[in-house]
Amino acid sequence: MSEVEETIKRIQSHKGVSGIIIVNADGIPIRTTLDNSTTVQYSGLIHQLAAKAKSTVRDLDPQNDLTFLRIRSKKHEIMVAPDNEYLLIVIQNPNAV
Amino acid sequence: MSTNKSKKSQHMLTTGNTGASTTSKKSHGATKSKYGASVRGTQYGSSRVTVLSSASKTRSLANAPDAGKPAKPPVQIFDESGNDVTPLPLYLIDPTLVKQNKSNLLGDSSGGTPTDLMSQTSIYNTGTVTASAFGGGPFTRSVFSQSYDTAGESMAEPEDTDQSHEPTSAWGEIRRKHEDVKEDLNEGDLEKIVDLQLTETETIWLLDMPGICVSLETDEAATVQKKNEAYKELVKNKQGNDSYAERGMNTFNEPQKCKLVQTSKIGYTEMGVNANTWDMFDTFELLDKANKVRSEDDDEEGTISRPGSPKEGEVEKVDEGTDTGPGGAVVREKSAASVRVDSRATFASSFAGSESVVASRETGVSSMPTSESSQIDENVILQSEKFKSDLFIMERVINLNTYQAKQALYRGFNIIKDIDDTTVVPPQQLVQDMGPNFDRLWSYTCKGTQGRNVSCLSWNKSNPDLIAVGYGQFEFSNQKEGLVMCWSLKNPEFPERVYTCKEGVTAADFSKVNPSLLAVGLYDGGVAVYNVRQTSDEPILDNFLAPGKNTAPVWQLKWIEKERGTGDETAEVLVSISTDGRVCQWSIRKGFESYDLMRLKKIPTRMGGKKEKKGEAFISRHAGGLCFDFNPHDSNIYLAGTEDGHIHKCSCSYNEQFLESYFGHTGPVYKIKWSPFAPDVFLSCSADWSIRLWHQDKVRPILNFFSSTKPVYDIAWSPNSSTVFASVNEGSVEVWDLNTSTLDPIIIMEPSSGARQTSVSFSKNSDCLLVGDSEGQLTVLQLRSMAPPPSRDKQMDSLLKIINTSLSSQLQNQSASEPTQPEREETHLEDDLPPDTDQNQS
Repeated sequence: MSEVEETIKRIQSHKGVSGIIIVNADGIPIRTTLDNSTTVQYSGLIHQLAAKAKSTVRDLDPQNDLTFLRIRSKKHEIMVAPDNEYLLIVIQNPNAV
Repeated sequence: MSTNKSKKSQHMLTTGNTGASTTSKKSHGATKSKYGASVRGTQYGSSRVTVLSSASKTRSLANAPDAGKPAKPPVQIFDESGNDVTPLPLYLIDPTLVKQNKSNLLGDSSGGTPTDLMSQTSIYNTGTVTASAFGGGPFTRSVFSQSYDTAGESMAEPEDTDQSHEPTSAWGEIRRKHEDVKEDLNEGDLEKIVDLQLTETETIWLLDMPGICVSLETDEAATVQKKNEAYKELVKNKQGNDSYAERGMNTFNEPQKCKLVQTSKIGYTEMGVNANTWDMFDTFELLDKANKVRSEDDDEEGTISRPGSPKEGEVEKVDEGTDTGPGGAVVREKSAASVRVDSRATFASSFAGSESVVASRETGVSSMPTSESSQIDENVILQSEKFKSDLFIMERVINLNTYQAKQALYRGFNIIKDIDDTTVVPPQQLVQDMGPNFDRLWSYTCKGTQGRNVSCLSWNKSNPDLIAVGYGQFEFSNQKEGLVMCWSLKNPEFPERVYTCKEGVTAADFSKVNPSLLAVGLYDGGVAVYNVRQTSDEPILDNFLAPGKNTAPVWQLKWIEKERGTGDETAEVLVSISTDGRVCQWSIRKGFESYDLMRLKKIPTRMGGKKEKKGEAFISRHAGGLCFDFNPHDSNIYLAGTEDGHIHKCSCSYNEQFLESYFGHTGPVYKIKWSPFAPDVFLSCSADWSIRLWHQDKVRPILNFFSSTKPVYDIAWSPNSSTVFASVNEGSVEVWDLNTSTLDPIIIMEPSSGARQTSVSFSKNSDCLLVGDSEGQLTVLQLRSMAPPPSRDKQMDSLLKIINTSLSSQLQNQSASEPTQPEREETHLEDDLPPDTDQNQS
C-alpha cells in the first residue's frame, strides 16, 4: 500500500506533472490532486473517451485490448491507463521548465 | 277427470304395447314421433312426459285418493266364456307409489306412473334409447335421467324377469320400503343438512353407431347403397314434413359474476444495452471458462452461482423499444447467456459499452451510496496488482516524456525536435569543431543517495539497461549503512530496487549464469547475495556467520565461471578479495562455502637498480588485496593488486605461490583490468596518481600515464575501441585514447559539483560513460566525436602496435642513457605481430 502511495507521490512531484486522477469504474474520482471542478470534468470526459477507444480497439479485434491512451495537445499531454475497474489519468506538460 | 285421462293413457299404452310403435299420441297432440322399431321406448318416455307436463298438481293429487287398491283397468275384455282376460298392466297403480314417485321425479308424476313403469321397463329392456329429440317439455332430460335412476334402483331385483306379475309384487314391497323411507324423512329431518356426494358415473353409451365402410365390390354393397338411398330420401322428406318437428333445447344460462383482482403497481424499468462484437466475445470467453471450471470443480459451485444469475438475467430481459432488430436479438441472446452464467462480468462490460445516458443515470444513482463503500472500493482498486503495474508504467511514461530526447541519444537515435517546443535554442557552435567531448545526459540520483559515495558499479548481464550501484564509504571514518540500488535506463528518477545493508557496500557484481543474482561485498568483509526479482531487503544468502568470512572489507567481487574438474560444465563461483590478504572463492551450492584461493604474502619489493632489502620487519605476513581480475581467456589465471603496489599473477591451482609479480606502482593498486581486446595486456591504477599499462610477460609497465596529482580510483576499458579507456581520479573524469596520445587524455571533464569521482564504467549498448561520485550521483555522459574505433580484427593489433612503439622508444631511451645494457629488457613481444609494425632495432 505504501509503495503505491510513494509512487503516486513521485509521479505527482515529477517535472511537468499537473495532476493525477484515479477514477473508479462508475466514473467517480476517488483520488485526485486537482481541484474539484477540473477533476469532475476530466473524469467524466476521459471516461467516455477511454470507453470509446477501448470499444474501437476491441471491435477491430476482440482478442485485443486497450492498454494505454495518450492524448497530446498543444498545452499538455493526458495519459490514461484504462482498466475494467478503474482509470488512471495523469496530466503532464513535458516542456515545462 | 284425471282417472279418465290416466285410463286413456293406459289405453294408449296398451295399444302401444302391442307393437304399433308408429302411432301418434293423440293425447299429447303436440308430439308426433316416428321412430324405428328400436326406439319404442322413447315414445313411452315422451308420452309419459307429456302426460306429466300437462298434468297439474291437482290432478296428481287427485290420484291420491285412489290409494289403497290397485286401479282396475277400465277396459275389460271378456272372452267367450266370460273370463276376464283383460290383459293386466305390468304393474298396478298405487297412489302411494305415485306420491313417492313424485318425490323422485322433478315434475308431476301423477298419471304417468303406469306409463312410467312401462317406459322404464321397456327402456330397461331395450337398453338403448336415443336421448335426442324427445320433444318433451323442458324437464325431459332430467326427468329421464331421474327415471333411469329410479328404474335402476327399483328394477334392481327383477331385472332378469320378463314383464310379468312378479315385478308388481316386488314393486309392492319396494313401494313399502319407499314409504317407510319417506315417512322417516317427513318426521323432522327436513332441517338436517344432508351431504350429497355427486360422483361422476361411467360414461354411458346411449347409442353407438359406428360408421361402416363397405367396399363397392362386396355383396353387401347393394344393400348398403339401398339403405343410404333410403336415408337420403328420408332426409329429403324431412323438410316440411308434418311428421317431423324441430325443437330446440336450452341449456342453463348461469348468471355471470364478474370478479376483479387488483395487483400492486407493476413497475417498469427500461434498460438499454449495447452489445458489441467484443462484448459477445467476452461473454463466450466467460462461458468457456465457466464450463471449464464447472467440469473441474464440484457441481455445488455451479449451483451456487445460479441463484445469483437468474436475478441478473431478469434485469437484463427487459423489453427495449429502442433497440433495432439485430440489436434486440443480440440482447436477447446475451441475456439468455447471462442466465446460464453469473453475469456480473458481462453486466460490467456491457455497462462500459452502454450509452452515456445510462452511464450518467448510474452515476447519479451510485453517487448516493455511503462513503464507506466508496472507500472500500478505493482501497480495493489501489491495492490491486493491476493498479500497481499501471502506476509503474505510467511513471515510466512520464519519465519518457521528460527524458525522451536524452534517452534517444543514449540509444543513438536521431532526435526530432518537438514541433510544439517553443523554447529558443541559442545557436551552438558546431559540435564537430569541438573534438571529442562529453554530453551530459542525465544523472541517476534520488533523495536516498544524497551524500553517499558510489563505490561500485555493475551492469546486469542479461539486461543491459539495468545497473547495480553500491553505496559505501571508502575510508574507515564516516561509515554509514550501505545501500545497493538497481537503476534502469527507463526511469532515471527512482531506482527499481533498493536494498539496505548494515555496512557500507564496497563491491557488487551481477551473476552471468543467473542474471537476477547480485552479489554484494560489505565493509566488514561480509558477502551477501540478493535476488533482484524480489524487493525485500533480505539477501537470499549471506556469509556473515560463515567461518571463512573475510575479516576486512571486501574490495572486489566477481562471479567467475570456472571449469570444473571434469571439464564439461562450468560452475559459477564468487571470488572475493579483501584487505586481510585472502582471495576467497565462494560457492553457493550448499550454503556458502569458501575456499581460499590465495593468500597474498608480502614480498620484498624489487626495484630495478636497488639492492634488495632483506630483513624487513613485516607487520603482517599478508598484503592487503584491493583488486583482482581474471583473465578473460583463461579462467585459471588472475591478477591481484595489493596495498603495497605489487601486482601478482596467480593461478587457481596454486594457492601458495605467485606465478609472477609486477612491480611498478608505488601506492596501493586500486583497480586492475585486463584489456578486452588484447589478451596479455592489462591496465592498473593506483593511489600514486598513475595509470599503468602492462603486458603480462613484462614485469615492468609498458606505459605510464600521469595526468593529475590525485589518486586514480577507477579505470575502465572501452568495449568498442581497444585503445580507449576511461579513468576517474578525485577531481575529474578522463578519457584516454592511446591512438591519439599516450601522454594526455583526450577528454578531461571536471564536474562542477566538486564531488570526488569514484567509479566509472562504460555502457555496453551505448557509447556512454557512467560516472559515480561521492555525493551519490551517477552521471551518464555520452561520448561524442570520438575517433572511430578500429575494425574488429585490428583492435588488438592497434593496441599492440602502440605498445611496441612505446617499447621501442623506451629502449631507445634506455640505450641512449645506458649504452652498456642494451639487452636488458626483451623488447620483442612474441605475439602474432603483423609484418608492418616497427621492429626494434637493437
